[in-house]
Amino acid sequence: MTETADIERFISQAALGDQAAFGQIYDATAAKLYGVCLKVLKRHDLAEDALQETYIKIWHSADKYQANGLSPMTWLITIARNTAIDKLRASQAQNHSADELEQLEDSAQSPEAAVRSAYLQGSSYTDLAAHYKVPINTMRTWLRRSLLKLKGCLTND
Amino acid sequence: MTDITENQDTVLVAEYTLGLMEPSDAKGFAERLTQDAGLRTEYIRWTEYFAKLSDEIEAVEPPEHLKASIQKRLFGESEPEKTTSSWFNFRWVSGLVLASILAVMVFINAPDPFTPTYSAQLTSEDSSLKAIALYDLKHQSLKMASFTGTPAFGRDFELWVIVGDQAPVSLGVMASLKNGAITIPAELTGSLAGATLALSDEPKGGSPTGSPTGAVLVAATIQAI
Repeated sequence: MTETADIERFISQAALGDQAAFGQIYDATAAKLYGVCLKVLKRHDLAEDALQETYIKIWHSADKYQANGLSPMTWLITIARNTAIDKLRASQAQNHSADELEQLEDSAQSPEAAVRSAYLQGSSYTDLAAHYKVPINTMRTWLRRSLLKLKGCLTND
Repeated sequence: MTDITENQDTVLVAEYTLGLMEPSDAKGFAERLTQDAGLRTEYIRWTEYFAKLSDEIEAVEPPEHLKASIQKRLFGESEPEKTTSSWFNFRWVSGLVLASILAVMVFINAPDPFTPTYSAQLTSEDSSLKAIALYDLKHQSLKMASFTGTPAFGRDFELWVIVGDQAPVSLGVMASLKNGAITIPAELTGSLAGATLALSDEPKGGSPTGSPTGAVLVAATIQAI
């Protein structure tokens, strides 16, 4: 099992152009990041594209990592998540009416589930309002309240 | 109940991190983030928190060929594909050369290296055309990080940027973007975050009219990484 400190070292080596270190980042993290892409996109072909784009971004922004203050896995997962969400939104824009709402987890009943849905399905306020059958402003107020509740968890970390 | 206005920034950071903000608001907020250390601390906390939501996601081994194909796209590897990537020279720079360039940059105390904070992914439906552009907001620098695709004989791909409702502005034909670096027209400085990048099919050398004349093949928003 590759330790956090190893991944951090590989990233700083990759930032200096070390291609072997980049390979080590891939070996240590690709399965996790592919899991994240697949969770968001559901389809293997889209997830494979997202994973490729994720690692291209990782290579090109490795020199930015040290300055951002995030733990290495958080940084890598965030890039994978954002890349997959971009791809999901692009594919939904193409097949409009289709299954946008089905992307929301059926079990999404609590505010925490709405936050999870925004994170893992890239749901917008409009999507969430449609799913919960409430006006957008109500949805926004509701989600903002749950974010404030969650803020308690952050500071205790 | 907690007063929402008192905690407005916290909520804004969370919304920004989740991607719930409208692109125009997100752009302004990204600029605040670069200037406000307190906000950045909040951003780090939220990002760490949200990343934990993926703890429960199972790791899945990706197909074996993916690693090689990523390395090929980044480093060129063995079989060069002249038609798709000959213009894209910085991919061929060896790690060692790059390291020495970076070392020199550090010693002469040059400005920070290119540090992209935004990106746009342009992928056609059949995946025959794929491009990734990276944008460094702080240094106002835009680069084409990866490109795959071949224009039809006698045609060129032309890159456009569309800011808000304005008309598309040409950034040049793909074949002329040396080293992937893209010159941002002076009038667009500072307005690229949230703008749209698009590739159109044009006559060799680019559109004769200054506006897209052929089909728009792919388009994507320049979004925070």
